[in-house]
Amino acid sequence: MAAVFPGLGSGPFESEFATVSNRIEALIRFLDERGIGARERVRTTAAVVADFEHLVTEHNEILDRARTLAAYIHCHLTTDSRDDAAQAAWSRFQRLSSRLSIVGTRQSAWLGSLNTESLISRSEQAASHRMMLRTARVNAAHMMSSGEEELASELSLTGSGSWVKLYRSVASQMRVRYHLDS
Amino acid sequence: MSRIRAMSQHPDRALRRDAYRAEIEAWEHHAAPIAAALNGIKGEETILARRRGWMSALDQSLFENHIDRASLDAMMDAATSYFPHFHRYLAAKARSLGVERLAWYDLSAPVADGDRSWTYSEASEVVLEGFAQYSSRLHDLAFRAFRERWIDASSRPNKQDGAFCVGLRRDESRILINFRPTATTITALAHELGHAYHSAVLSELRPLQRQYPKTLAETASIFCETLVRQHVLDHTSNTDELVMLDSTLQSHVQQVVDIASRFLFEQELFERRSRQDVPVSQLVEMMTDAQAKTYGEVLDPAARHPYMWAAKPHYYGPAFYNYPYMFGLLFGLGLYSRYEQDPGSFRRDYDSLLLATGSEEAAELASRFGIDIRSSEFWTGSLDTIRREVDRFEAAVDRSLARSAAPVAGTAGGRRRKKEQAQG
Repeated sequence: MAAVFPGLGSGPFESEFATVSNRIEALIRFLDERGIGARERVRTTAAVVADFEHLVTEHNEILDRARTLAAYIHCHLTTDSRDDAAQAAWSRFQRLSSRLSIVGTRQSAWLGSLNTESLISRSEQAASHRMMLRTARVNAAHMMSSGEEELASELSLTGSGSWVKLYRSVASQMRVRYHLDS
Repeated sequence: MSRIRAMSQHPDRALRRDAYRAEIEAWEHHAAPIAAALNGIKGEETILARRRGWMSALDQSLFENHIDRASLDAMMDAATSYFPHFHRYLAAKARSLGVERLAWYDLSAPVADGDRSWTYSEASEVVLEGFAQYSSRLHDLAFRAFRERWIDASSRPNKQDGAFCVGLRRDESRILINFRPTATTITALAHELGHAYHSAVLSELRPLQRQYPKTLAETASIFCETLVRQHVLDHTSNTDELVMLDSTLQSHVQQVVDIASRFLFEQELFERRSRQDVPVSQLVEMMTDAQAKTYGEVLDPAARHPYMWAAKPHYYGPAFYNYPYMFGLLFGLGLYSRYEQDPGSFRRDYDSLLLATGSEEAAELASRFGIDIRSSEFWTGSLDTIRREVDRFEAAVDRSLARSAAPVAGTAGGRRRKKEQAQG
């Protein structure tokens, strides 16, 4: 793993973490500026095609770099569960990951409002992401209003998220009495 | 708990039984908060699926896994019709262990204690040999993984149990296994290197183009595992054959029979939870009913596992995190049988199939090989591969029992057998 970063908390690791985090925030600002999210029907103008291509290019780049960060931390964590630095890095990465998921949700909602075939005919990049467009379209058709989706997302931390945490805590910390009758 | 559950692999039956009883008692003791968690999670999934306009949580899950209801039904029907063959395996295993009927705590018990041990280096060599028979690209990827130390293999304190492969950057992955000097390490290595190969093939795509569903995640791993297992079985001693087949069939029972029980349980759970909270007593009853329908009477009804809904973390994640495992196994085996029928064409088309796992529905992908996943014919073809393994296991058990019945210590037969075991 030393070929990737010298270590958790090393200069190159921290620098990459900050770069990924900054690019996520910049992309969220871009979504805000361009009104990318749940919309009524959007016409496929040149500006929309340009927004799509910028969004997909940047999202892909961030996902690639975040994958390396996630794998690097995960490998440390799973090979030594007592590695405090890895635990702390994982916790930071989860926050980063939750910010990145906002991009995914808003991207899906926006793509659902576009005319997919028209977009594909005007953008090679769209054509090469056909499956993503198809999936986004169905996902968008199965979204609640943006306010409800946001509420559901926030409540999941105290709803199902907390139930999952409770389950994991009980299941991992329970002690078993073992009588060796044999 | 993980240490207690690991005792299910101990050769001493009384020890396994005591560990099982202790485990059941512990789950029973903690059942109330765990049932509350399960009800909370499934309740939320039910409400959100309805509010988002899905017919059911299962429909949402099928969409996310890129398959349709017809494919799921065809697979489940075929699996159910093959349960009797899995039961034959379980009955043969009972014979091998010298018990009338298997209990839950016998499912993972070792069938022989004389299997040869493998060093990590030997296991790696066998994997490379098996891969080389298929293609130089697959061999070279595995060779690179060993040379560049992608694999953390040693078993040690504070390291996670089990095995996984994670994509790191470009075409590079990292693999975690917990090496044990048995033949199962070979299949684990082959399985995880299969994931690494899949990841390497996909590396020419961008992340948003390579997001494949759980149903297709095992396409390469199962294929590679089967490739190497066949290679080992073709060059193995009787005892190793028995151990290797048992390890394979144990895993197949988990991924077909046990997964079917979990699927039935979860269907019932969503049905009941949509009306009200489901109490512990009903969860227990639903779980043992599902096990009765899948394992049948070949598994001692008094020694099933009423708390699998608590023991399996999969219930506490995305809905129906079960059938994709069965799909992955049977799809991978189906592809392997296509390879056996026509290796040349398969080698030509396989990488492009892997490349398309993130860009096509499972049915479209399968049709590249003339496979119709909506028909039960394809699934029974895969299950036939397992049926032949069961036949071979039964024969191996019979040979093993016949050898045990023959004169032992101090006799020529006994000496020959011990020597064979020592040499592997």
